[in-house]
Amino acid sequence: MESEAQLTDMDEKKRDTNTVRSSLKWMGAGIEFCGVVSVFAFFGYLLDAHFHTSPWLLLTGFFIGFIGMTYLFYKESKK
Amino acid sequence: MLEMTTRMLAQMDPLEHVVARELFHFEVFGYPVVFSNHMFMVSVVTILLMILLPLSVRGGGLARRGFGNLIETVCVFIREDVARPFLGDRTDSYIGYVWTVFFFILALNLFGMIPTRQIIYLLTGRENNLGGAATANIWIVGALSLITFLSIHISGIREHGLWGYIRDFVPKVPWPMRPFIYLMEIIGALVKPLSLTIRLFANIFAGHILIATLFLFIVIFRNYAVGGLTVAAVVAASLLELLVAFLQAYIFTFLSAIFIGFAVNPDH
Repeated sequence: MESEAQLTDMDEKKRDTNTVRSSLKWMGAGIEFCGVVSVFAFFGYLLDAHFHTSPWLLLTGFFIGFIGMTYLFYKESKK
Repeated sequence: MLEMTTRMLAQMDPLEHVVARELFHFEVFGYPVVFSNHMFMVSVVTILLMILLPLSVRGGGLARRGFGNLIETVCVFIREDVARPFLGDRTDSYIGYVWTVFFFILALNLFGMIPTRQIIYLLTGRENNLGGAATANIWIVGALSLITFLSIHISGIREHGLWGYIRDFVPKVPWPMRPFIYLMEIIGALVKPLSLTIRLFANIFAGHILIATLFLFIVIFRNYAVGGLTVAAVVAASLLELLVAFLQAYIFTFLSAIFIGFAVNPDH
């Protein structure tokens, strides 16, 4: 009985450690999100400068990056 | 003496403490190559680790003692608690890189905290450029991140083959979205080493600037009360820096292990 209780404690600890670990994988997600959105916005900015459409392609790039990364993170979180 | 002490403690520009300084230069195929104090620190740390680590874990039997035991404990922790949850059965194939990255960054961070320049100046009275925090140099940290970036993708290709790795590079999404998601993942993959670089560089850089700025208060106010408070604040900030040195080495190692793990086991 005692060993079962110990086993449960150990399982709980293991589960907690795994939860912490799986959440830590998101540590770099913030910079990645901002980085990708910035790159898309920058592409939009370059195209704006080329086609003289400022600020519409910059905004389009920003929103495409934003929506895409949100979708990608949603898919990653479902794994 | 006061002037010497003042110069020793703080320059008026806090950035003086973190910028790279030339020690000497030479030419390779007509191109000038500068050997800086940060490159000197990287060389010193590399040589020390290559001598100290194998010596500390030599022989041993069932249980090592002293420094060897400490190194073994850290190695076991990194292998079992940092790498194995993400690398699984393939842990032992990649643990060499993970261990190396941890000890290398930790040693660079810790050696960067020793005020070598000031100590040499105090002892000999000669201006010198020896020492400095190499991890406060974005190019050195960038090079480390680049090595991690290559390790991630080379290990992924090694495990799954080039085609298999490309196929599993993105999560399963409806096919019309695939090119777009590929583009995002490729940009994301390029941003990952950038985030590793900025995190480590900014933490170490900011810590050293903070300490240098605190020292400036002594020069600006020139009274005992501010001097005492400043010393207390510098001690506190240095202890925080000590924590940051370990923490950032751990985070860089941890994220490297995670990224390599995702490349090796994409469905993890």
